[in-house]
Amino acid sequence: MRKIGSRVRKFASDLLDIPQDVMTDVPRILIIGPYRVHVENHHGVEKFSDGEIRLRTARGVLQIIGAQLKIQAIYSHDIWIDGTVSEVKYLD
Amino acid sequence: MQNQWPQSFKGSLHIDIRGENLADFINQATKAGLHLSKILWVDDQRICLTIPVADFYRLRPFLRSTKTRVRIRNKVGLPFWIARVKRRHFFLWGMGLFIAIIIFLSSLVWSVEVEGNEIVPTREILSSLQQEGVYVGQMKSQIPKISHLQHHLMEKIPRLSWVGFRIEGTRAILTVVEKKRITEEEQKGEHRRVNLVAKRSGMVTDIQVERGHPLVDVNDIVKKGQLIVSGRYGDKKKTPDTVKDDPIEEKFVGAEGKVLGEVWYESTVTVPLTQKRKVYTGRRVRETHPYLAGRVVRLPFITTDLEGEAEFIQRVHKINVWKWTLPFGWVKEEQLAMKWVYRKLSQKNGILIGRQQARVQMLSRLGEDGRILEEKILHASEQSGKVVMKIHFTVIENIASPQPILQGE
Repeated sequence: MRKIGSRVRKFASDLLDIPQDVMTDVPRILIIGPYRVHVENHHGVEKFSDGEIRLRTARGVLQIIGAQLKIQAIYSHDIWIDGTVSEVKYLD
Repeated sequence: MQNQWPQSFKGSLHIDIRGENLADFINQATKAGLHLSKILWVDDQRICLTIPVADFYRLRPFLRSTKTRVRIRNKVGLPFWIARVKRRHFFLWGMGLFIAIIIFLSSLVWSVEVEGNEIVPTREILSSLQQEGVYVGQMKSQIPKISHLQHHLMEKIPRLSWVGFRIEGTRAILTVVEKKRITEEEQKGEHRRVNLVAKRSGMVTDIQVERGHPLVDVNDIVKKGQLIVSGRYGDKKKTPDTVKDDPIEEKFVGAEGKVLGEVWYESTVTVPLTQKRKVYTGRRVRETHPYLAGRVVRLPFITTDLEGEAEFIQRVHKINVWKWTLPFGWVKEEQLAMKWVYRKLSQKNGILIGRQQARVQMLSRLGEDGRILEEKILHASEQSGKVVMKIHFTVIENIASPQPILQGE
């Protein structure tokens, strides 16, 4: 059911020319240089250490690898991570 | 997000969280709307984070459910600072007292200075200032009104022609200007060694000599540069039969007086027959413009400009804040439309006007003793829209002018 719902929403957003991140629950990631990552629409922290942070999202687990990572601020949907970021990827 | 107040006002805590399920703890606390920030990883069992004071007591359920423990490391922010200051209130009192002392001491007069006096002794001025209530140690607010003070001082010390009082910080400064004293020469009544000579050729009509030896008579004709009143006293004539040591010796007394003479002047006057005058048409526009950094900002579209020539009257209103004048304000501008009106004069009127002008000019040139005896228009002619005429004046004026007697003669 959830998959059908997300497909419908994607179809609707394509049709109506609405940005996908507004309609669907997928994360929106903003990386500023190598030192800051903003993630919107996350579903929580799965793992937290200074070399790796894993976030739960609708798409899957988002892995952020770097050094001296710290969570500068965290809200129920947004997270702001500072540190030296080297890799941001989805774990399938 | 919940409140817009800066963290530092509300106060926040740096805390240590220890336990196994730290990620769970973060998730649960965030879901509940707690505002966690600056989360640092120390090791797998421990993280550091910052949390607002208000959220600290809401942490407890999550601590219990995730089996973590909390320890406060540091307290920052205004509420904690106030609490700390309250504990050391003597320090605060000291600071307040210090400021109060500074304010009190700077409201006293610490020195009184007098500037610009040469003859009147400073001590005398200081003592009269003291009587007026200006002395070292006096409160600045107790000093009377400056205009009154200056007035009283002028009355007290008549040798001063002007006093200016001002306060610069804690210094009271009195600037004085002394009356110019009569020079010794003037006191003794000595006169300059001068002769009077004619400064213009003419006929002598009246001689009023105060000192000296007149050499001309009424109705004599004198030439420019001729000696009229001699400043020497005593006869200089030495005929061969006079005895060598003449008892009468030459003395210089200096000449003084007036010699009125009849003098002729001729002046040429030109009067244009068309006269141009400025006349306001009555159309006017009043507007207010902003004034920024010394210039008027005339905004296009809002500003109207009168057609044709116009005169501008601008009145600048700068904004004053206490004693400073700010470089901006507004300008009240009035535009008065005007036009030039040409008036044609007849030749007769032109001559009349020219004559008047010439007379006024002549009188201002003659000085206090001068007067016009007779004026005659010699010939008036019209040349390219102008009346050109020559006027002959017969005037009475003081023709005597002093000339120093040279010693070597």
